Formats: sequence, structure tokens, C-alpha cells
Amino acid sequence: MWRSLFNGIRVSQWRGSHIASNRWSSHSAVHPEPPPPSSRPTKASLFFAQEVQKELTFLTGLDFERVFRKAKAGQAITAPQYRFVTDAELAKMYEEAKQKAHARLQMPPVMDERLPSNRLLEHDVGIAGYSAARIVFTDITFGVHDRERLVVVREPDGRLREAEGEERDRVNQIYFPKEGRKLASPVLFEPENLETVLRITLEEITSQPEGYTRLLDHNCLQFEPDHPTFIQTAETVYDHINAHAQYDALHSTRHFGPMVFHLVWNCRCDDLLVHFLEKDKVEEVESLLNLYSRFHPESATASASTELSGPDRLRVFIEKDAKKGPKIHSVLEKMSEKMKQNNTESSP
Amino acid sequence: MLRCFRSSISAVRVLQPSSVIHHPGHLQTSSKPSLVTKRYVFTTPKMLIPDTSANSGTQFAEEGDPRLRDIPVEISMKYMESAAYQETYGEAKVWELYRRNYANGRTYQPTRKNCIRGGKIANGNPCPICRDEYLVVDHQNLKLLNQFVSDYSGEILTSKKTGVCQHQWMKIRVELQKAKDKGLLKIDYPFVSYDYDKYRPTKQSIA
Repeated sequence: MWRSLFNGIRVSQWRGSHIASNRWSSHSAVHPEPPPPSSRPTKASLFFAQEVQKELTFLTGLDFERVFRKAKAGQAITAPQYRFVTDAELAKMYEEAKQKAHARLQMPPVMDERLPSNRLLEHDVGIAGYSAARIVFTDITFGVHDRERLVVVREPDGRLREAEGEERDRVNQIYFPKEGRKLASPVLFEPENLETVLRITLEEITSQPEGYTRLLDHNCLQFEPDHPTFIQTAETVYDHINAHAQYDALHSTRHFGPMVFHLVWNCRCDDLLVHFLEKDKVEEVESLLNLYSRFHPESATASASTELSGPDRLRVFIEKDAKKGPKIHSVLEKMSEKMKQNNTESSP
Repeated sequence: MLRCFRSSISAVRVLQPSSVIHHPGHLQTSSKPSLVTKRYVFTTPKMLIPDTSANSGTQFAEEGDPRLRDIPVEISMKYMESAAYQETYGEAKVWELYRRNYANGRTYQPTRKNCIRGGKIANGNPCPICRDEYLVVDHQNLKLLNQFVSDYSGEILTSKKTGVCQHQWMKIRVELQKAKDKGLLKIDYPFVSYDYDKYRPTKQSIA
């Protein structure tokens, strides 16, 4: 029985019964998160909250053309099918397509960087010096999720600890490889190369509107959401998009929600607000302010949210919380002038 | 026999055998190994006289074959934008106008291993890359690399399709991988689905 715990390494009998014990069979390999600081909730606790998910999904939008675009994935493609269907069948197919679209718009989890728990399972001094190298034991039982797989490491000095971080990622990729994920992380994710690719993406944004999406998809494929490089890459891309106001590049993709989350969490959502205002997307502005109040419960906007809404709350946000208050104000002014002009033109 | 003859006398122009004499039994195709030797007949008696013309051995004996020059990547990238390239290839891909020759009509065989052997272009119809020294296969030369990737599916085109020799095809695949590693290729990645239950913070962590 205990052989299944070890990846084909023959362990001598004198240790067998020790390892076969169920001392840690009920142990979950999911790393416990550190307790949150006093008032501010953690990113993950906010992200997975139902209300936040609802707001982010609303902001993401749903454009079938975008979600089901022709993707060049390096695999053979099939010709499109054309069918004659009744109205009822068409309605049914539309609903099915909507379900599929929602599945494809699933947002990659927003989490804090994983922290090592440094949990020591056992320290057996008698084993010290048995091997010059660390030995990694992996439970390769089929059907266990990567994040719950039991992976432990016996150090040469006899300590038995959980495998963490890159060790776990590497081991999971060796025994249960994900297609497209590399064992060694691609050079793309190094800061200089990322900068180059972002520059090229921006230059080619009109001819290649999916540039940012591809980059973020590659990020999702290569790393876990709590990997430090994943977070670093994603945040760099979101900041680049924010700096150049290229929000449409991610609209109706799975990455729009996490981008909004990052901007609101770091109080950098002013340009996004302006973007929504210029497009007359009033509901999106409301949604954004709702998120802001939830993420920053001690802000003026949050306290104003209890009584005010709409333009009044927006005014509070501009005066008290916005970093680029004057810019948003000027955009609002232009909009109100435009509305007045339209009113005067329409009325004879 | 033909081979050792070539290596011993290098300045002599060696003619291709114009006819091969077989014994009558060899004309029927049979699976049995033939015990009959083939005899090669040369039609001219001048073969042993040293050839001192400018076209001795290779065509470019003194200066070196210009097609084998080592061109840096940057120059190759400039060439892809130049008038010379436009004149040579127009709007077509570099392999589209190339017509491959097959030995004895065997159209199923793969392309040759290498166009360049022993420091010389070893045949009369080199592959689309080897024939033009300004086409340098490098991960930075995306304009060239992207011609060997399908426009529709993003698949790497086979050497049978493009006609490049195996050596160049290996280089193309390696450089495509490098470009992909650096994020320079415009390809899409498979969708990753997350089981939110495995990522959600557990109740224990919320103190």
C-alpha cells in the first residue's frame, strides 16, 4: 500500500511502516493563507465574493465575436458548419452558446503571492546522511487536484517537509503535465523581454487587437495564479494597458475582471472611469464605484455610498478619493455641455 | 568506384555517367538481390586531361560561392523589406514559387538532408532557404519565420509543403520555438479552466 505513496523508489522495510501510517493522510496540501491585516480584507476573499464576481462579470461584457474568435492555436482547424434550424432550435442554441461563452469568460483567480508555510512534518536524525541529495516523494494517485497533491521532501539532514512553490509546480508538471506549460519558465516573463513584447503589442494594436490577451493567456498557462511571476506579469500588463488607455483590448475577455480588480485595489481606476464616462456607460461607472467602496471601506466614497448614488456619489469620489479628480471633472463638464447643446438643438 | 575517383583527382571535371548498362535479367523488377554488377560508360575520352578553365570544380573556385556567405540577421531583416526582395519574390512566400525535383518520380520521399555539403552547394536545385543567402533563419527575423507557419491554423508547415531541406527545416522549428519562448509569435494558447473551490480561501485562514 505504501508503495503508491512513493514514486517507484524502493524504500527499505525498516522505514516502510513509519511512512504508511496515516499521520498526515488527512492533511491538506493547500497552503494556508496568512491572517489578513486588521481592517482590509485579502485579495482572494474579495475576489471570490459573490457580489464582486457579479460586478466584474458585468463590467467584462459579452461579445460573441470576441469570445468565439478564430484562434490560431497551432492545431488543425475544421471547416465551419452551416445548418437550417427552426426558431425554437435557434433559441436553444443561442442559450447554449451563452453558457459556453460564460465558461470561456471565467476569470483567472486574483490572489496574493503564495507564502511558504515552512511546515516541518518530522525530523528524523537517524536518517541524516542517508543520501547526498534531497528525495522528493509524490503521491501520483489519479484524480487528485494539483493543489491538493501530497508532495514531501526528505532533506539529507533527516527533515521531512512539504514541497512548496516551484518544487511543487515542477513535480506536478513532471507527473501530470499540462499541455503548453514548460518546466523552465519562458524568457518572455523576464522584465526586459516583457517590456519589449508590451511595446510591440502596443505598436501593433490596430492590426493585432488580441496582443494583450495572448500575453495574459500565456501567463495563465505557464503559472499558477499565486505564483509571484504570474502576479508580477499580470500587474505589469494591466499597468501598461492603464497607462495607454487600451481597455478595449481586454473588453469581453476573461482578463478584464482581474484588470479592473487590480486597478481598483491600487486606487488607479481614474482613467478607466474616464473611459466609461466618454462612452456614456453610466451603469459601468456605478459598478466601478460599488467596487471601490467595497475594496476601500474607509474611503469617503464608501461612506457616501450608504446615502448617495449616481452623480452625487461620483462627485464625492472626484473631490475626495480620485487621484486625477480634475481630469474626471473636465470630462464630466464636457459631457454636460454636450448634453445642453443637444437639448438646445433638439428643442426649436 | 566513382567516389574514390573524384577524391583523388580534384581538378578534373568529372562527367556524369551517361548510360548505365544492365544485364537483361535486371530489367524486370524483382526483390531478389542482383548479383550483376552495373557498368558505367563515359562518352568522352577527355576526362583525364586537367581542366584549367574558370569553371573548374565549382563555379566559384577562387572567390568562394557567394551563395554561401555568412549574412548577419540584421542585414537579412533589412533584405526582407528591400526592393531586391520585392523583385525576387513579390507577394509570394519564399517557398511558394519553388519547384522541387524528385528522384525517379518518387514524390513521396522527404526533402534532402542538406543542400550544402562539404562547404559547397551540392546540387543544382537548392531549397528556398539555401538558394538565397540573404534569407537567414533566426528568431528575430519574424518576417521570414512567419512564412513557414500556416496563416489559418498557426501550424508549422512541413518540409514537404515548403520544399526546404531537413537541415533548414530543423533550424526553422528551433527558431520558431525560440520566438515563441520570447513571446514574439502571434499564436494563441489553450484555455485554462480553474476549479474555484481549490483556490478560494478556506475558513481556517480567515481568522
